[in-house]
Amino acid sequence: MEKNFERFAKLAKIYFEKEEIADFEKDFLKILEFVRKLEELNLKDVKPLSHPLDLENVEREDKSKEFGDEKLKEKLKESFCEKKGDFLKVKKIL
Amino acid sequence: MIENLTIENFLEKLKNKEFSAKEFFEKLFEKIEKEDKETGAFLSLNRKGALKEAQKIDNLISKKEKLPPLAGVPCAIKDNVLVEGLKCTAGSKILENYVAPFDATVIKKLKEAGAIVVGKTNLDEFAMGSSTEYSAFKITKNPHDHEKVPGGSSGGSSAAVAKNFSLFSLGSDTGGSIRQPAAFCKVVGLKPTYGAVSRFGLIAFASSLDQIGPLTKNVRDCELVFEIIKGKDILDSTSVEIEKKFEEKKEIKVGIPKEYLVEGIEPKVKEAFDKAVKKFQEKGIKFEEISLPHTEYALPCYYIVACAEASSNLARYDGLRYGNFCEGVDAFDTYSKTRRLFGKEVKRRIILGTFVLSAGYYEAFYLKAQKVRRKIKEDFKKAFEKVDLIFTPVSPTLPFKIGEKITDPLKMYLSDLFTVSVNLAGLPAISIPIENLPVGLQIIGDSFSEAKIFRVAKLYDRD
Repeated sequence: MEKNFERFAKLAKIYFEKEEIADFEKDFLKILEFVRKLEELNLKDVKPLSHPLDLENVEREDKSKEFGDEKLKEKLKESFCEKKGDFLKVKKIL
Repeated sequence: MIENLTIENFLEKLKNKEFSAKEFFEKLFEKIEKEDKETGAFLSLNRKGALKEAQKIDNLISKKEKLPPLAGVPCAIKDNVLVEGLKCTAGSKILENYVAPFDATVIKKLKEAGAIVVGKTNLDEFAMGSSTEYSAFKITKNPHDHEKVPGGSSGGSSAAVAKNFSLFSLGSDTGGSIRQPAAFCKVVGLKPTYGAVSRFGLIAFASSLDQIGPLTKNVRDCELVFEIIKGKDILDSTSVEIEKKFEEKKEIKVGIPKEYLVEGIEPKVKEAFDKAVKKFQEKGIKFEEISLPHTEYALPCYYIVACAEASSNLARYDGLRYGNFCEGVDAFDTYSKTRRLFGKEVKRRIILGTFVLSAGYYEAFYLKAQKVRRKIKEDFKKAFEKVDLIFTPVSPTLPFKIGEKITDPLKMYLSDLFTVSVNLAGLPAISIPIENLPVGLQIIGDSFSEAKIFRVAKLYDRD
């Protein structure tokens, strides 16, 4: 399981110290055991429900538009860690 | 002076010039600064801003201008709802220094109605918890017993109302986070129908379950605040206008689900519930036993759905856009080191959510939970063909001791046993305090039947 836990930690992009893992894993296995209760049910032909309301997707054309609110734009930029002018700096992905 | 006031009394006294808004707020902040050291309801206060707004209300009064419906009414806001210019931490180290750049829609509506934000209240980190102990910043104590928890995750909001630090609060409810702390602190709390209140500006936990709602001293105030904050909002595509009109009926029939009054419920809770039911019977409400057969599957279903959505929602905390940031050697290292700042419970839920959504486990867990969710919704649908409302206790237990459940996540999850089904089905439910105990009566209605819930809950309202 240890290997598996590390796999999901990696997928979730959360760093764990080696010594933390055992503790987390113990709780994780207990919770997993608890949610496995659903296996008791026969759910053949039941349609999954992902949302309480019957809503339709809201669609719009994929077109960029001016943000408009300059003051808000500045404030949103402010909370960004690294920036230069109107550019927001992020880490290289590839 | 705030001790015996409801929103209605406050407005009356303010209009009759028994006090000025500014005077009132000065005294209120004195009280909070003195008493909140012990309670720990607030994470931050809005003293300067509130006094400025109070002065504006006083100016309106002296000019004899028409007052907005909540003129000068002090409110406390859970720290996962954005109030422009104030810090919004969601109880997390990762947002420790984040300042909200705009108002949530509910805040915009409250401000337009004249309400004044006193401060931001403590919560379990990202609203994940049932005791407010998972806050990264402080412990909130139950105002009626300092050794006990106030409930959660809106524990700061419920404690603020119970301690008379505000006349009402806003909380958010994903699996019981308004109703359970309302019960533990002996106040009223409403989880509105999914879609009744805009979620724009609420820091997302599980988007198909989250709703913002009021915590108040009585049912009339609760209705008053709900009427102001509800409604369709273009900025939240899941919000809808309530069109359903409440038909006055001679006889209201209430169902009591047999599955809720079995094992695990504390005798004192059961006793208080039975006594409350009797009082409603005396007022002419008819009761019958009903069945919600999938009740025992609601909690495991909820934890799969809520954690799956949380793992996706919380992916945005990447150390780049907002909040704290830990520099790493590359993108992955930066993300994973920054995300180390999440607390233990949040990490647990993100990992569980990642697991149930991952290839190979999706069908066995997430898809299955979605099917169970439909079964739970159908159970309620069938029940509401027979009865108008459903009564249950809010929590199976009385408030527990601080520290009692913090090391055992499963024990903590069981606090939400009676509340999560309502979120899965998207229904409205209120918690009202009964028998002068920290016990809540939960009144569940069909979608968009808040008016009916209020009407029946008011039969029990204290003046």
